[in-house]
Amino acid sequence: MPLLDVQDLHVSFSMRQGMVRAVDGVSFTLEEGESLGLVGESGCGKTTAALSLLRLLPPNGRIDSGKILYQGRDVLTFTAEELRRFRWKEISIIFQGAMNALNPVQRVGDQIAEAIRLHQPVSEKDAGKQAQALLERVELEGRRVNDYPHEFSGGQRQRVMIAMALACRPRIVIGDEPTTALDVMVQAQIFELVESLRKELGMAMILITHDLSVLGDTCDRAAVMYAGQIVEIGPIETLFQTPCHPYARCLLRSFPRLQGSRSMADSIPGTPPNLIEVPPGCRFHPRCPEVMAICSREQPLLLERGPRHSVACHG
Amino acid sequence: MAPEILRVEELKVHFPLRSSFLQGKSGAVKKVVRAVDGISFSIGEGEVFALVGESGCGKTTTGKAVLDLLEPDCVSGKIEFFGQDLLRMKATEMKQFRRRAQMIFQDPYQSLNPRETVYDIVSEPLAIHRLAKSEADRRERVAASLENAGLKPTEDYLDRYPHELSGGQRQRVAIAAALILEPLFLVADEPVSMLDVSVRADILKLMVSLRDRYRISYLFITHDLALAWVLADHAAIMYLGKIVEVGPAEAVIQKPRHPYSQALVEVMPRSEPRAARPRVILRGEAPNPVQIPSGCRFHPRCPIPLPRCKEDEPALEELESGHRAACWRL
Ligand SMILES: Nc1ncnc2c1ncn2[C@@H]1O[C@H](COP(=O)(O)OP(=O)(O)O)[C@@H](O)[C@H]1O
Ligand SMILES: Nc1ncnc2c1ncn2[C@@H]1O[C@H](COP(=O)(O)OP(=O)(O)O)[C@@H](O)[C@H]1O
Ligand SMILES: [Mg+2]
Ligand SMILES: [Mg+2]
Repeated sequence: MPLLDVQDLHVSFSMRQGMVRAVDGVSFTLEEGESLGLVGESGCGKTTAALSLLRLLPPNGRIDSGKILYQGRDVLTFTAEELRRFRWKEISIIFQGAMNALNPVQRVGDQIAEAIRLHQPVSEKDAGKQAQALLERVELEGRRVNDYPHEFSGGQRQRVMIAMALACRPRIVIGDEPTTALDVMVQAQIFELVESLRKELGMAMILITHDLSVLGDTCDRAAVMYAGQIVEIGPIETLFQTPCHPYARCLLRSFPRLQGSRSMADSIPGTPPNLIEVPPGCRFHPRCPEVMAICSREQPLLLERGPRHSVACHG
Repeated sequence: MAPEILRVEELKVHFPLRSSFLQGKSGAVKKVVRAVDGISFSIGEGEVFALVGESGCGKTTTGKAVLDLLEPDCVSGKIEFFGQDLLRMKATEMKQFRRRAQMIFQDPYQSLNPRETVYDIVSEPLAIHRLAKSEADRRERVAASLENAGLKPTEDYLDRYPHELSGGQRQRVAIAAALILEPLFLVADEPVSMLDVSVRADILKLMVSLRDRYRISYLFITHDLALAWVLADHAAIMYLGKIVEVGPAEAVIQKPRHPYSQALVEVMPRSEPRAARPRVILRGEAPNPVQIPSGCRFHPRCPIPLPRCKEDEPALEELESGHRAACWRL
């Protein structure tokens, strides 16, 4: 049994203009200790999918159907008390732009200790000690528990956020674009840190990003999302070497590489559809360089093409 | 070699550190932020010169300095635009310069006034420089500029406000506003780092096509070496206020010689599984430019320091034609 088994998840937001179908039939599994990348252009539903797993959607968002099985039990049937224990202890999230999520007028150590005490029955003193140990785990000096957020650099603040996410030793950590605003060097440091922690603590991970290429350092598998759906999922080697879905290929090409030629790749023509009114058939067909007649009529199913490798494309 | 349009010699930008209690007590100790600490480079006509480095190394400050957008008291050294000394220009010359040299900022969400329409934003530089002969002329120039920036049909955009545009469209509006004065030199400060992947290539291609069409030269500021690789003719790697390596992009990026440049190349994402390459990642972050390390300022983070690196600061030495690096190992 996989640790996490998401089945045909549908999530929508109600808006004045209509229903935004942000996640529209997403299925994937996550094994114990495994690392899965979730990649796609902004607005394709990555954050929504992640928030759904924790049932942390904003008030206008709703999980319409599907199952989220955690160790075989459906998270969607959890009581409030079960949810409280589930979040942070079983699965935690490092938010996008988390660097600004810290309280600017509270010492960092106190913020971590508070998070610990919210979920574990420990004394204030013990929580303080744990906070210090956690900072050291993320390679910051323990004495910095006394510092305020502004005394940390962007990369260091992100380390603090990682410390918080690890506070309750969860089985799964979700990173929602945890390095998007950071330099390449800091990004590499953060990924290296996350990798070593993940190995050591045996955590599974879902890493959300818009840059497929960064997943090579951290992920075993990756899922490419387009307009609320997974269009290709498979081992990271397969996605890098022989991506099948035209969108996955376009996405991979649109980041210039030091190894590649100096000519700039073409960008993907057009824009992603608005998720209130999606195109019929394959959602990518209006932008697809390899479009066929059937693509505008029939929605392709996500079908297995090889071991653990599935693609939703008529081609 | 293309004729030189910009030449920078020993540029320094030292900001006074405000609210330093040290200063208050003794009155004598004056701390400064050495944001740019003696750099030299030149940019040829129609050339893209990339300035690459981690955040805080002084890229934006350099960009602002060469456009004379900083407090004059902070800036020293020499900046020549078409051979004329920027720091000693007369008012009329300065006006010409302001017209010919423009900046495109990183964040199109912040650089555009949310209460102005696209027409207002793009036509404003014309008003400042009193360049439009008539209302009709103004309209025509705005339309031409929008078209040059790839916003077509222009009528669709004129009356829109920034919030009614996508990120890529906003950056195009910023580019249109910069183009309307027919500049010869653009400082592009991380112009695509806030944009989604799918539109980045379009904006970069637009920049290249403008260079080809109007011989515009660019100081292209980026922390992404891959962007420098696809765009730049020459590149400089900056660390803590200094250029540590400079030369043809091909040499600096594909055969970097300075350990810092090598580390930057090393951490670039590569679209390969991790097992494929073991790698070295520099520890820590660049120190604060208030306390610059002695000797080679990179020595505390350098994977291969020599004893003398703590004491003596290396100068840029020519390795091969036009390719220079500052390291005692070379
Ligand atoms: N609170 C919300 N209300 C309405 N629409 C939303 C809300 N949050 C997200 N959306 C929409 O849902 C879609 C998916 O968004 P998101 O999950 O944030 O994408 P990603 O994380 O991939 O950038 C987008 O079209 C977005 O505009
Ligand atoms: N107006 C200013 N006053 C004081 N320090 C400044 C000012 N502008 C920039 N700095 C400092 O100068 C250094 C270089 O900044 P900047 O040029 O913005 O770097 P980059 O663009 O490479 O990220 C940083 O340490 C920054 O904090
Ligand atoms: Mg998101
Ligand atoms: Mg900057």
